[in-house]
Amino acid sequence: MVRLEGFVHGIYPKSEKLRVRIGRWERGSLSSGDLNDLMAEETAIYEGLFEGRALHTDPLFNWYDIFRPIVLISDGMDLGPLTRFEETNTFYRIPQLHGLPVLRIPPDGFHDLPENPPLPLYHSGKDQALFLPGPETLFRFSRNVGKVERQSFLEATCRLYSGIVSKLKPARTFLMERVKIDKIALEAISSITDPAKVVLFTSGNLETSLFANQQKKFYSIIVDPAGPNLKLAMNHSLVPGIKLVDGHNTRMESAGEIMTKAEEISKGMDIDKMLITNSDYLDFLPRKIADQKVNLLAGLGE
Amino acid sequence: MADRNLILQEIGSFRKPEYLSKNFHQLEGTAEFNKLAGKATLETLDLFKKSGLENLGVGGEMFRWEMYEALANNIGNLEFYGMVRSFDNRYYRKGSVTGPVVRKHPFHRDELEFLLANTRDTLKLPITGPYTMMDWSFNEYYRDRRELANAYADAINAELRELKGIWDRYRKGEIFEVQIDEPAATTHPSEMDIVVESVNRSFEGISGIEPSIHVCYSIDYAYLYNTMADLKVHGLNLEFANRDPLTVGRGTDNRPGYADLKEYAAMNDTLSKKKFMGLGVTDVHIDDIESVELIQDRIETALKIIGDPALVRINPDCGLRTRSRETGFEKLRNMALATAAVRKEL
Repeated sequence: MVRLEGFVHGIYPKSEKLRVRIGRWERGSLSSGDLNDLMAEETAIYEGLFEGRALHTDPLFNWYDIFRPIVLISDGMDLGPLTRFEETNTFYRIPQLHGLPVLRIPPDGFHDLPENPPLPLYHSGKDQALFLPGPETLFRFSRNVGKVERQSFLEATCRLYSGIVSKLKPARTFLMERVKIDKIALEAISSITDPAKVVLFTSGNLETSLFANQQKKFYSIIVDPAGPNLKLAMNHSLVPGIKLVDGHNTRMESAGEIMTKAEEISKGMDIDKMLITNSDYLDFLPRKIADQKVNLLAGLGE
Repeated sequence: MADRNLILQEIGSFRKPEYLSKNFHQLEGTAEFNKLAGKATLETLDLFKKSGLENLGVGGEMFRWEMYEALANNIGNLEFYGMVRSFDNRYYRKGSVTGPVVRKHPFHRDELEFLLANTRDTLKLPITGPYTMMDWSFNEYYRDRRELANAYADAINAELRELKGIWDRYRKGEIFEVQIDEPAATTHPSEMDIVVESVNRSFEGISGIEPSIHVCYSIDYAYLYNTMADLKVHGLNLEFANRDPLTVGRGTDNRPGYADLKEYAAMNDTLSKKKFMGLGVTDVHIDDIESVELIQDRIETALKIIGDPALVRINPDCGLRTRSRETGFEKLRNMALATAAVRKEL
């Protein structure tokens, strides 16, 4: 029987207390320093939900969207207007590309940012995974006002990410690609850090040719739930992952249901251990439900 | 109504006076609430008339807090687990459908009763549409999104039947204008058939009404225009000013926000019964008061494309609830002054 381990990623819904305090900070009645302290406290509460049971990324409480802090700490990009995020009822400030991105502000340590809560970029310890938006996703979700060449942008973004990773030295680096990627993007991603430390979240059906030049296995490739995807993830990562917990619906999955699906999809494959993740970050859900989903994912390995 | 050309209409919400907004949730459902909401409605109707509006909607939706909750709070098997983020630190309540959608209580009965008992002015009732209700809810119960949208449509249909009964008690023989609000209509382009099916179902079997649809902040109105032959509404009330510059000038080169009206006009030409266009001419998300000249340019540009002024109605992009009452009034007044100027030239 395949062993399952939960993995929770992305922006996590905030507590009522944090929402209220951010409101005060936006109105200027709470200092950035005090907000930063509260973010650290709330991150510790989030960490407590896991009780050491599952891998996860930072909850990104100070990320207003999955691109904004990265844009704000870099040269070569700025923030465009509020734009609908995919087909959801949520919105993000569309990044505007003017040139190749270069890190301008160190990601660690306290630093005020305009139009976003302050740095540090992450509050979780380095034994967890560091979240980064996939370079292809960043490119495709941006307005390319400077007509920046795609491959150069991907490579420059990955150099920028390398800088963040080498500074913070996380146990894992999680890259969220919300669009289909090609060999060029995969090659760039492989250059960020040792692939054996990378968790790559992919979208859409994967093709064998994608991995033609891939020399080293990733730690995990997380795929949409389909046998052929999982097979490729199995061949090219140490611990394949699959999205089985719905990040867009309050309906609660059960451990039994997840186990059955995981076994169905992995049937006939020689998989010892598999990561089970949320299909999207849980910030699309109320906190109460997100906590229940974390509890479910964290308990899968038991 | 004096002129059937370029009818001046409201879209829906308007900023509530503080005496109502600060106690809204505490008082909702009480006699005191109805008294305060009624008072605010009369004041807003008066403000609308002074601004020059001809169709006064429901007096700024003083009986409603927010378009989703106005229905959701009266629907059974819709559970609220908490707030959901929209952007930055802005949140909204998003319900989870955990069983069959049932209309537990009327949504807008008190509001319509009050209006009909207190005014003879031209009214238009906005009601949140089934597709938007579906899109803004979590679906834990229905097989798919179509089924849920249609379930909401049935609840809305029941509501409209009751409201039509009330309307007939006061204004028998007069057309009941109903605007179905569907801001989510074009967010999933592959589901436009669900939009059409559920909106039509909401009006099914109800005669003596003039149905229209309000959509705003669409990624592309072409998705909506392409459904015009099948969508059983008499008109579209849309947002345009938000996507248009604030500099004066006529023609689509100067007024890019109105350029896609060409697609609407081309589609309208293919229909045996043409649909009117409620033209958003003032941006509800900025405090700038667009000048009379700018609004006039917007209307003239649209008229050049559409041709028949009887097919054009003039309105703000959306409800003005996010502006102060003073700013809202100024915007409406300039809209009316610009319309009067255009009418003179017709």
